[in-house]
Amino acid sequence: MSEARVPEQPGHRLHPSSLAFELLVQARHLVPLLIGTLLASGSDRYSRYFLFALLALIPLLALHALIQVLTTRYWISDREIVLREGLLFKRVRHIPFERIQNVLLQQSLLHRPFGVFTVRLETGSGGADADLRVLGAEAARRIEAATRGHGDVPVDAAASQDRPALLQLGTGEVLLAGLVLDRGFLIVAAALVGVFQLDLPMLDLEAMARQLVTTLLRWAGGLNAWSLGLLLLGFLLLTKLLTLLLSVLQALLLWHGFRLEQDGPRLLAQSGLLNRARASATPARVQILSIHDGIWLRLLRRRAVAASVSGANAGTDSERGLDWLAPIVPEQHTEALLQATWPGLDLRQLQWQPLHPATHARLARRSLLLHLLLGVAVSLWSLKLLPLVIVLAAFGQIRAWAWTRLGGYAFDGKHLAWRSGISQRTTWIVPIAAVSGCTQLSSPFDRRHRSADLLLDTQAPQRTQTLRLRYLPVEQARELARRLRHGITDTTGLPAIQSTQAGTPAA
Amino acid sequence: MSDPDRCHTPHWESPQAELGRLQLLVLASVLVVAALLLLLLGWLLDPRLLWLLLPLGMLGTAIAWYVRASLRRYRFALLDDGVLLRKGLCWHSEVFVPRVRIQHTDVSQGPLARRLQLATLVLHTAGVNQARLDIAGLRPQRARQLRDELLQRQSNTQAMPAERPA
Repeated sequence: MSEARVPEQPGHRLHPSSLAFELLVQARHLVPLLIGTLLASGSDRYSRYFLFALLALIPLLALHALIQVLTTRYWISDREIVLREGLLFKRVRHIPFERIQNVLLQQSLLHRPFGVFTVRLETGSGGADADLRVLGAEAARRIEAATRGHGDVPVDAAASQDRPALLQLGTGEVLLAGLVLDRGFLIVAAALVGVFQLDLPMLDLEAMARQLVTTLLRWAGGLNAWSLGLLLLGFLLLTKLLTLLLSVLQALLLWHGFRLEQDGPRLLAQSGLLNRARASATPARVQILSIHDGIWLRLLRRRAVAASVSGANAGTDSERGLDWLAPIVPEQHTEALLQATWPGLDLRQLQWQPLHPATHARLARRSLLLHLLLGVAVSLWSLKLLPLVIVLAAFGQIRAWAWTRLGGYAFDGKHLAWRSGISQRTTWIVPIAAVSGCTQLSSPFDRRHRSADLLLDTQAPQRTQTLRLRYLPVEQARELARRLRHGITDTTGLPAIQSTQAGTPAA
Repeated sequence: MSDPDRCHTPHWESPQAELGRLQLLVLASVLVVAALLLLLLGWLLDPRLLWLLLPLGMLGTAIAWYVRASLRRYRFALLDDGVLLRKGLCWHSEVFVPRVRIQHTDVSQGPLARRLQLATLVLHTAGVNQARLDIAGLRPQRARQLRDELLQRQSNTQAMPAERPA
């Protein structure tokens, strides 16, 4: 909480068009509420009063936006940015440059005609971010340059073109990324969830869905096995095509014109078709790198590299900090990208250790048991589907074998890496410095076979199960945990795990 | 424990007895409330509901047994570089929290814990998924002592979380 100590010279002001954008942001909160009220209300007195109350808020919000825009000033000094805003409730923020972890320059479709950016300064994990809405291009770049420690120096807008690009994606590559990475499924799932959460009184979605399912089941019961199989196949293909289309569209929106640059140690990425977003991060903030691989990516000799950065707020895609180092990149360039982020990492020197030898048998047994149960359940309902279950069981066995063969882990003293997956394979890499906690887990089955899982925690937002090394031999797990513990406190590197003999790590 | 540990044999502390008492007390209170509720419902609605007291008792005994058994494994150790905590009956877990990643600590007491004069030391780390580690069943004095030891030694080492030296 700093005093209202504000520099003497008048500070920089926001761009004249800021009022429009500020109003838009306020409206974004109000509009759904208005629509909801209009749809859900009857014509009784109370809902009308509520509606009027909401409408009365509008001029108030407009006034608030106006005050915000008129009173916001900022100063750039050698070491910090000072922000002042507010009339009745004055707020002065001093943000030292070291505390700024990420600078985002956002430009939506509406920003383009004015040539302005919304500048967001991210300070620390989940800390209060400072939004400057909106600034002209020159002012925005000045702030960006200043956070690199240059102070209040006007930056030539063309300078960013001189920086060599680590990666630049043409439209064709972006389309390829959309096809291969297939995030469409996620969109559809999210949309379905969203739709079912809407409570529209006019449409009873739940009843409609139930009716649809019963009709389908009745119809399907009358067909023979072949038609049923073909129908299922057709349905699956159709969904696949739909999700692919959505994925390609999303890829275009997000990654059009993707450009990754390096400025000193910092990595800068910009991309986007309608919303042009820029994000930057220092290597120290990158907690996890994941190299995505798979059948299609391999065929095309490409990889995808994603990064998880500490302090990145979960928001809409365009507002997140650096999260894709390379949505798609030719495989020979992957090394260069990794080197740019973590110079100490050499992917080729990693000595991959296999998973616990009993893993295949365990996974195969589990899959068999599941399919057995499924077969019993299905044959109680309709024997015609049993061949399908047998085929699935065979696939399950193949998957169990493949998963074990393709899995593995490696530790080079400074980075922990592991890979998993069959058709969609991922190699995860976490530097010791990013590990903020480590847990050894073992279930009763693990203990019987003498294996264990290692669960890591970092500062980057990830689902818990993502950073989990599964089916490690128990001695290796303990050894790894011990080395991690030493590595976190001790900054010098440690010798790598070299032995592949059961149970005795060298060095 | 039969497994041989690393070069530093950690000095394991186990607040089993105290923690056991606390957890059984919590369980007992819950069971008493449930039994009373059942009695009330039985008197108001249908006396046959009182037969449910039997499975309730069995469930209570099973839970009590489970609590006691899993506490036998509950132990923690203060190492030079952090804290180790072991817990779990079926699913064993051993959590390590490095000293240099501890951002702040709490010593907290629930109402029942206060009656038994027990406290919980909560370690908050810089992480996201395992951001807090609770060590329960400690005497308040011991909890504060642990906290001081952790924080004090942390100020000697480089305590900047997650900033790698360039």
